[in-house]
Amino acid sequence: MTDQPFGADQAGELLHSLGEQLAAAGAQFDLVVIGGSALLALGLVARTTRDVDVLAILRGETLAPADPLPPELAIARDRVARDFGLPSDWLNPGPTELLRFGLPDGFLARIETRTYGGSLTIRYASRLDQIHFKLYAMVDQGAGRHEADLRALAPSAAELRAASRWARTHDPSEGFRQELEAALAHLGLVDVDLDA
Amino acid sequence: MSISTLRDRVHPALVEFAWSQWAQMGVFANAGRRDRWAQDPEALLVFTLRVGRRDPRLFDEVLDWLRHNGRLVSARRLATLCPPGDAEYPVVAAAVDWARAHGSPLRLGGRPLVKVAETPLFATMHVAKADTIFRAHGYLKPATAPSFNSVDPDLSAPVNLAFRLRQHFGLSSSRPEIARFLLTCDAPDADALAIADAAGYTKRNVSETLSALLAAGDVQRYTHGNEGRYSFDRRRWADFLGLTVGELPVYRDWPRVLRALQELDRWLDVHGGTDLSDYMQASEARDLMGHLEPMLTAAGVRVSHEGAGAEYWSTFEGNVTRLLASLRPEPHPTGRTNA
Repeated sequence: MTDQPFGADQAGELLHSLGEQLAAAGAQFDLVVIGGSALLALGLVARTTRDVDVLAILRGETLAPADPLPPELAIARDRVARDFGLPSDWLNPGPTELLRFGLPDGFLARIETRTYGGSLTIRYASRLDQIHFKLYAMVDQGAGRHEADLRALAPSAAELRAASRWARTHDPSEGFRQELEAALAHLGLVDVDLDA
Repeated sequence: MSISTLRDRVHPALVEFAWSQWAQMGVFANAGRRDRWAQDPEALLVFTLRVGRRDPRLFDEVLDWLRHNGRLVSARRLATLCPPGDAEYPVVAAAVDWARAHGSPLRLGGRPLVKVAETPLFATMHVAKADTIFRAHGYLKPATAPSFNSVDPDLSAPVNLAFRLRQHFGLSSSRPEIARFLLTCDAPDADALAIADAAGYTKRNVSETLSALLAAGDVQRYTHGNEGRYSFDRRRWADFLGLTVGELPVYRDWPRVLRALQELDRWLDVHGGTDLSDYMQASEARDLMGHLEPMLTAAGVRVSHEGAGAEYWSTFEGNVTRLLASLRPEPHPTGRTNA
């Protein structure tokens, strides 16, 4: 098994393969994906990633938590992992907790859709929503690749302000507020009214 | 190479191999080769009743062989290698019943017949008048009269060592199978579990027989750790059989090799007509090889896992090629020591 990161082309190949496994099993899924693989798929960054982060499963107009992954999806995911020598969590529901606190307004209207065969549809979070998620992750988990991704997305001041207000709804604590202000200052944005 | 192309390469090779073995065992055919290995009659029979469904002449001549030589076949081993529930059990049961109806003493215990949907035994043959015995087992097969072409196996041929030992020891115990393994295996000795596995009998049965052979001075035993290991004085046994040690047949793990080939054959039948993508073809092949690997590894066939995604297919072909290579005749001996 390899833990080598993969780029946009290989991510596409993995998702096509997942789609084929689902088709062979007679299953069909519509997944909402955020994070590095989404940024790669939309051409927003040029780097590699180690996994595909599933935020939710789209059922009709409803976003359902992805954790745990439905058995048919987990089986197909594991077969792809075996076939490509990947860790089994190459596709995981890691960020599905974000659903509990609410997504940015208009999230579903902005998603970008790709199909991987007839059995797998992926809805990628838009650039604006990725700015929201990346700012929150940068404050919550530390800078590193989140800061790098955020800078690659080149957010405007207005976009950072909107992202900041959304991030505060997830963690209204004073400690988080101070960390958020520091992060915004680090990104060149000062005097943001986080309570507006 | 597609699955259907691989199928077209493998299927004829399996049929040709079956002919080559039976021809040395008394089936009416030109042998064309004299193998150095000892064949496993029951494993070969189960294998042939599968691959022979693409060659009606092979199938019918093996039926005739079973009619003529059924007394040399172990029903117990047959049931161990192909128990009720096995995919090949119905056709094996039908063949044994057919041979019995034509004079063979062989009888396969097991399930009573139940009415099942009838399927053609040979995919390419029209059945005007179906054989009643095969029909009772759910197969539409042209009515078959014995050819009376089969003869007794030539007991001096290495491939027929099992029959020779059964003539010496009888069919009612595990003695001939234990002797066959201890005379032919690569290792100088083996534990009871390995012997039981090769013999196709339970460990308890084999342990009891080994104790009797030990008491008679026919096997030697020593203890390694907590484990008893058994061996034959091959020189003495070779003398008894009128051979030199170097002329003793060699061992092949036929139950595993032939079982793996059956599974491969079935897989190629199922998938050969499907239109899979390169990736799914490789993924399905990986499933099969994952299932076969323990058998192949135990039988000494190297299995490779190289290649991600669709690239695995060429690795799979390489694994199949090595499996088929295990059917090639053994090279001439360069000398073998008494163990």
